[in-house]
Amino acid sequence: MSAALHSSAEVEKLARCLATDPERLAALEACPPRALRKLRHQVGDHLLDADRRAFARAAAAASSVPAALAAKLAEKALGPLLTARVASLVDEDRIMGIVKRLPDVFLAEVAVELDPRHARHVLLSIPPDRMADIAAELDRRGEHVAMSGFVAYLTPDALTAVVSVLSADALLRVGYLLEAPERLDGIVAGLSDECLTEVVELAAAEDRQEELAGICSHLKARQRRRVEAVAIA
Amino acid sequence: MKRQSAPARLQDPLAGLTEALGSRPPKALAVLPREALEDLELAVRDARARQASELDSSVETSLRLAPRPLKPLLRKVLTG
Repeated sequence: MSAALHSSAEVEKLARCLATDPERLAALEACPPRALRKLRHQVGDHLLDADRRAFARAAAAASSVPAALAAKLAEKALGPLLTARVASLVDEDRIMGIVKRLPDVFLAEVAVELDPRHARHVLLSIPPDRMADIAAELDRRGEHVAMSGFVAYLTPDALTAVVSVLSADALLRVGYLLEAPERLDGIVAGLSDECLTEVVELAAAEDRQEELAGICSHLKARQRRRVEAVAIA
Repeated sequence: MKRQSAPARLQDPLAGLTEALGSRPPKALAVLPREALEDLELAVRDARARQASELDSSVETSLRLAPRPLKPLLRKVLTG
């Protein structure tokens, strides 16, 4: 069950990377999640490298025109997927000026297309309060799988802000699928007892104990005891 | 990367995908049915073609949206 959910999530991420329907790639769910993640990284690298000159030109253009125009071109001419790929080649200082001129809805669409291996500086350039707004938007859209791909790359402040706005449903799913599970202990430590109770109760009510157990397997003793205490109560 | 011949593809189920990606995919994928691997290869090629087409379109749209004084600069940067 747990490997199946991870594989399904990886297929969803791969489908997004290929801009295709996850159903088209359903047969891949038979493969181990680690292999699918490696494949997704290969696809992302291939697509970036194949048009690197064009992406580099677009990045140069973003640095040559006023930030307001660069933001307008990102939103109206490039769209979220190409913006995410171009952004990986734009300087951090420049990114900050562009990001603050883009609406949350568009940034949310870009965030789910970003490959944090290439574009971590983009995520770091988004202030915590805006990142929280973006995360809330993605939670509303049910984009939990996509969030699991980039949440782990946020600064501690941004991560705290994001976790504070996520629903119990999102915390359970994103936590379970998080690409850097070593951050889970800190995330759970930051949850209030009320919030933790809500997550544990949701896992029980929706028969999602596998997800909760998956999260717990990455916790240190203190946080694991907190979860167990809530579950027993 | 050179296109693999049909016999090569028969011997190596990942040959087509390797060619499309430009690198060898994880060997765990070799257990997939041939049709699934061919469709994945096609999805990679489609994504690449679509990306190139969308990049071309984005240049035209950018030049249309740019204020007149900035068009020459933008054209120079975007088209080389």
